[in-house]
This record gives sequence, C-alpha cells and structure tokens, in this order.
Amino acid sequence: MMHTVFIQSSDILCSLGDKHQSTISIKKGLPNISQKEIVNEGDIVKYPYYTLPKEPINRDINKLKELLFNVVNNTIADAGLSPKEIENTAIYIGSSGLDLSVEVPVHFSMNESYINEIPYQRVGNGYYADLLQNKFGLKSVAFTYNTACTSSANALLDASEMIKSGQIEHALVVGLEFFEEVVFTGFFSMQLLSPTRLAPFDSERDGIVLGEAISAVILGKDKSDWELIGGVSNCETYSVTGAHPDGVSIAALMKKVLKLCNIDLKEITAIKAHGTASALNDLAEINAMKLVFGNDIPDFYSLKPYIGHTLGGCGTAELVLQMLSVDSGCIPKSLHFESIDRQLNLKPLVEHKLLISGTFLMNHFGFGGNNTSYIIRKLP
Amino acid sequence: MIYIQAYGGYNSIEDKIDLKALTKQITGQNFRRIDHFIQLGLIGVGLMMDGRDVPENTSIYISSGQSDLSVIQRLRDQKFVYNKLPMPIDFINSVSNSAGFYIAKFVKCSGKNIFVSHHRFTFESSLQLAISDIMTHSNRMAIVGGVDELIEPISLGQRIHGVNKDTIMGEGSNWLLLGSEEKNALASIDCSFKPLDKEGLKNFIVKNNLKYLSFSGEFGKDLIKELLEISNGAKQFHYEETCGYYETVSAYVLRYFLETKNGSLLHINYSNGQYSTILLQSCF
Repeated sequence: MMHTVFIQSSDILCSLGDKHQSTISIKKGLPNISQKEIVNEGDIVKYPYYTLPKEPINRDINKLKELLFNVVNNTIADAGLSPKEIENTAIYIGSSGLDLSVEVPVHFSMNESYINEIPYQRVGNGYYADLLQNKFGLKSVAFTYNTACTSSANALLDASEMIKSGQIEHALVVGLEFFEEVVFTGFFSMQLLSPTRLAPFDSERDGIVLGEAISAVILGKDKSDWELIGGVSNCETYSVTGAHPDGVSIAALMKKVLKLCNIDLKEITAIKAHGTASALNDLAEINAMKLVFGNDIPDFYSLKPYIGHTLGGCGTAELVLQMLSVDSGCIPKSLHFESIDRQLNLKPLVEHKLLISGTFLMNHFGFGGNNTSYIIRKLP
Repeated sequence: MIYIQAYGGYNSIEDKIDLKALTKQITGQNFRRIDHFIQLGLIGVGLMMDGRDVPENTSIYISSGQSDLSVIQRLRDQKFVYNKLPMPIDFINSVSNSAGFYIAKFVKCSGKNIFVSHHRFTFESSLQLAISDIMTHSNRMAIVGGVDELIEPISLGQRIHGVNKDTIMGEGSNWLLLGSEEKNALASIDCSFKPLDKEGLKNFIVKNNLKYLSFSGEFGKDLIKELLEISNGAKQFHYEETCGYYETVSAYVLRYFLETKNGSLLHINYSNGQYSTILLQSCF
C-alpha cells in the first residue's frame, strides 16, 4: 500500500528573516540584498549577496549550529510529534559545495606546522546530520545529500518515497547553505555571478546572485494542508555545469513527473521555476516548458530574486517560501523582470496573483547533470 | 530480495598513484579535466562493469566520507598560497556529484544519480537508498559504491578522519551492481535500515545461521569475541591487512568477500553505541 505524504510543518531562516518576516517581505516584493567583496588580481570588486540577517555566520561553526538548531527545533515543535515519533524520525539533509567542518581544518593545514594542532576528530560530510540526531534524539536513519543545487530537493523526494512505501513514518528534511568564500569566488571565476541583480527570464539578465538559508520541513502521513504528491530526479550528461539549452531532457523529466503523479497538464496551477537568471539555464527551462505545455504554459516565477540562489538548500527553502506565499493568499511575481528576452519569448508572472490553493510544479536543476522536479498541492 | 549482479573495485594502501593512464585503460575513454577522486570512481565502476551494459534508467548511488579532499586542498592553495581565485575546473570538480556525472556518462545512464554521506555509516547509507529504490521500483537496477581518496600528508588525513596516528590510511573505490533479478546473481544482499543497539545486533546474529562475521568501525577485541561466540560457529572474515583505512571500507569488505569466499557474511559497522549491518549470502 502506498501512503499519501503531507508536509506537516516547516521553518526557514533566509536573507528575508524568519518565517514571518519572509512572508511579509515576499508580499511587499522587498528582498534584502547585501554585498560581498572579491579580491581579483589585487582589485577589490563588490558583488550582491543575500546574507542571513543579523550576525552572519562568517565561518563560525558554532553560530551555524545555533541557527540550524533553532530552525529545526521550530519545525519539530510545529509538527506536534510525540517523543516516540521524534525518536523514529529519519533525517535527510541537503547541502552543496564545501563543508565548514572539513574546510576549516584543511585550510588550517596549509601551514604544516599547524597540522599537529588539528584535533583527531572526524569532520566532513554527514557532520550536521549527526549533530541534529544527537541534539534532538533522532535515532532512525540519516542521509546527507550532496548533489549540488538539487541536494535538498533530492532529499525531499527520497524522504517522500520512503514514507509512501511505509519504510518510515516521519522525515525531517533540512536544506543548508551558508556563505563560503570558495563557492562565491568559484562562481565568480566561472563568470556566473551577476554584478547587478538576479533577474530570471529577463532580457537583461546577467547571472546569478548567491544566498544563504537554513530551512526544514517535517514530512509524514498525517493529513495537513500541503501534500507532496511525487517527483523524479534524473541525470543529464550533456554538460557537467548545466542542462542542454534545447530543454529536451528537462521536458522529459517534467512529463515523467506529471505521469507519475497522474496530474493532467491543465491541473498545474503554476510552476515554481528553477530560474537562476543564467542565460543558458533559463533558456533550457523555458524551452522545456514550451515542449511540455505547448501554448498553454501556466504562470511561472522564480523565488530566487527574493532569497538568492541558495544552491543545495534551495529545494527546501523554496518549498517553504512557496507554501508561505500561498498560505498568505498569493503566488509571487518574478521579481526584477522588466522585459521579454526575444530568444525566450515568454514572460513570467509580473504581479502577485491572488490564490489560496493549487497544484504546483517545482523545478530544481544543478551541476553534475542533476535535474529534479516534483509536484505539491494545497486543496481549497 | 535484492541481488548483486556484479562487483568490482580498486584499492590502494598509503600509495596515491597517478590514475590517469589506468582510468583510460579501464574505461577505454579519455576523460579530460577530471581529478583523482573522479578517476577513482571511474576506475572502480569500470572494473565492475567489465564491458557489460545496464538499462538506461539504472540509478547511481555514490557515497564518500569526505569527498574530493585533494581539490579542497588545491582550492586552499590557490587562495592562500598564490592569492588567486579558484580555477573553474577545480571548483566544478569540488562539487561532489561531478563524479556521478562522469560515471553516468561512462555507463550511459540517465536515471537517478545521488551522492550521499554519513558521519559514521557512510557506504551503508548509499546501500540503504539503493535497496529502497529497487524495492520501490522493482524493474530498476542500481549501481552503488563508495569512493574515498587518500589525503596527504597522511597525518592530516588521520586527524580529520578521527583515527589515531598508527592507523594505516588507504583509498578505494568499490562497487556493486544491484537488482531484483535472481537469475545469474552472485549473492543476495540486505542492509539494516535503522541502526541497531547491542541487543538488537545480538538477536540478529543468533537468529541467522552465519558463516562469517566481519567488523569495521570502533570494535574492541572483547566485543568481537562475544559476538563470534553467540554466532553458532561463524568465523571472523579478516580483510584488515589488505586495505588501509577509509570511510567506505564496508564496500571493500563486500567486494573482497565475493572475490575470496562463499556462504553468508554479516558485516557489522559500529559507532557510538549503534550498529549497522549488511547481510550478504552468496548464491553458489
């Protein structure tokens, strides 16, 4: 017997603030963007970045832990789980790129005389899942996903499948992304960062703006307003840095998701696009939408102009923002869009649209050929 | 029941050799701009595939303790030693699932491609996901393996892995091809989904007629002796002298067992009061 999976609680901390502040800022269309410096061949250049409010983490792992624990604590508390249910809750963490727990000692080891000061203490991938298990007394399975920008989206899908098949009762899914200089400068080196703003699908779009966020959801079988119907993840081997711009592979993925979920094209209320504002990724996504929906493409928008591209964390972060928006009575306009790109020839949602329910296709694509798409629904 | 259709891998003890030529020899392809970690992955999968084809929708699950450490070291040097920005290729290769991309390209698969890790039961976490995937989609196959590279200096690796300075370090890339088809299978395999406590482990050992037990993680001699005694005559399967320490060594144990023994093996990984088990039963 396959079970229905519901999103029972959620929380987020992103550049907009906490859950409440994020809802207000999205409604007002007011992102909170700061700047980070890059030293390039002796010159200092500044690029926009969506930083967590108040005290940035700045490589302070204790600060990161405190913020992570707070978001997870709120999520678990709101789910109303019993102590036994919490103990049996499985954990799925999605994060991309580098990990402070390993990066700090490796950087420290540059000077070999300092190596002897590094403690004999296991660091690296899986560290945060272990922290959360110990902190909240979760004794079930734990998985840490590192599939670039699809990390927490893939975590959501696997958690959902294991609940559906009855292997677990509840899952805590966490998306975690914070400022890391190597990642920031790596994107700069690849000439993928926008020096101005994140404007998906716009004719003048000139790249991505990164951001940090911590977000979490509890999935389970207990009925709630939001259902995670299902999704598919695949690997496209066209290029290690992105999907084929013709959109064929992404279209095939979206069709698979619709078929798996037994959802008709006309049932899709809107598409939460991946929408990174990079030239080729936006082109691939638009071409895919055209291949799937023809001339009847639903409203679509990107949430990244509100919180930045939170990389591996964007799966859960954008899921939480999507739910917050609809729960507050609208789907958000695609911020920073001004004019139609002739090559895309398609316009995202440019004004908030009032609605309180619907079926939404959620897209996430990443480095390493990883493409993930899934469908959520809120009944009226 | 889940079955092993093929296995293969590469292993090296305290010796980090240039793998470029070996990668080309084993895969028959000239992969450009890839680093040691990705080469390790390709070599291990290449040795397992040994010229066979798999369905296009085959899933790929890779696990690693700490991923591509040498790239992190290079990125560090670019920043602190040379005051340079990251080289784009190093940055791309630092993304863990870049290895999965090249493996998918090599085996011509477009299915699910997942890179996972765990603080203690690293390979086991990818095996759990692969088994769950096949159980949910019975017509699907999965390539599942663990890749860990040796980090130099050795003393740094010992510290960030949390092992003592006498530990012999190694690297490896060990792989299984799994499916639900019993025909031509080499062995059946199962992995405890939730970690067991000591009582749960003992009950499991008593209930199953096991030929071999193997151990990794923080096992003491007394506990090993106790578990062997309650096992109804199982012998300890020793692999320890044939590989160095790395976090996905459980994958190596399975491969080494399939290469050298028949019968049933229970591999037990222990950490911090919890046990994870993999039960393997050869089909011959």
